Amino acid sequence: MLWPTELRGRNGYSYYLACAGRRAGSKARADGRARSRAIDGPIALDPVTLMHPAHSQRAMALGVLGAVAVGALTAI
Amino acid sequence: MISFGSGLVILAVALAVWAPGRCGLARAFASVRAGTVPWWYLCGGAGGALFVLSQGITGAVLGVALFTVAVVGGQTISSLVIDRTGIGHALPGAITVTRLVGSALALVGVTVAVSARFGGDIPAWMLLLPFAAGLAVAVQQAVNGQVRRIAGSALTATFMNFLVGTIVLSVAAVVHGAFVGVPDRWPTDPVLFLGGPIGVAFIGAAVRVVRITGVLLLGLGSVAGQLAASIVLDVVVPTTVRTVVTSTVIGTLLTLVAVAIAALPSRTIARGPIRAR
Repeated sequence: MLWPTELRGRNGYSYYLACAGRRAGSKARADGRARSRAIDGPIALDPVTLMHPAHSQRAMALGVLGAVAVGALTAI
Repeated sequence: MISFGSGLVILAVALAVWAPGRCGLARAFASVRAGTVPWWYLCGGAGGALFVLSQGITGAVLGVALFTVAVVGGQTISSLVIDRTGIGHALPGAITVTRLVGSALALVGVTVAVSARFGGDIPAWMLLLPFAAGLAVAVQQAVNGQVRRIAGSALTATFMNFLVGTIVLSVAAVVHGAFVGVPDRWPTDPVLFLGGPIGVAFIGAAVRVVRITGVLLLGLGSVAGQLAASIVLDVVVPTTVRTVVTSTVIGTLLTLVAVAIAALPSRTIARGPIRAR
């Protein structure tokens, strides 16, 4: 699991918050953990998509379908 | 050159009327000046230009089959490395069992799909150029995704891609013209001019998708989509030159399965530099 404190510096704290806030209504606490209003507990974002785990798989599936669609476009 | 040039004109017009795109351009250059972003992040279009050049130089000799396999080979290897370093993603991604298996299966699938077109006596060194182009295309998709993140605009990233690509191809065209002369007339088939708008749509969509899927899945997915759409086109608009053969269908299905496998989460083989806890 990755917490905001580990993301800070390399990729930017604000990006984590923006992503988490948009996807899961999460808020970062002073200790760097995120708390989701929906889950009411600390959450860790998917390390690849940086999204809430519940949304990550769906986003990945849509992304792959998007990649296939992009490739199909080039066949024209 | 026509595709890159017409795409650049379309994007320049879009940039002129779309203020967020211009702001994104300013942000991207400011980041480079401040040293927070490497300058070569803005040069992703050079990868696309290298692809076009390699197609022009070796395509006729190698044929579509060998050219495609060499490009996909380079692209797959490069994508695995890039995803692990984190250039394409927000974070470095681990090399997993499913990603390795999916990559290998995709290479097999593509080879099977185009196997009907293999043939001829080809010098091995000629495969190096499309292989290098494949390596460069993966880097292109990764850095374009980063430019989109920095600029906050897909239009900015797409514009920079076409700008740099057009510059590189223009230099190549000048060198080529100096040795063999310039063509005395433009192509008249209007279909050839569709490459620009399609390229704009491709790059514009890719810079969005790559941030979610990473470079490897974007590359494998787009190759699978290209093969599948080619079959559909050959069935819907059949020609005397191209026919759908069994190996093409089997190879395409293998490639689609490979994409699905590569997208599955699994055990980590090599983890990126950031450790989870």
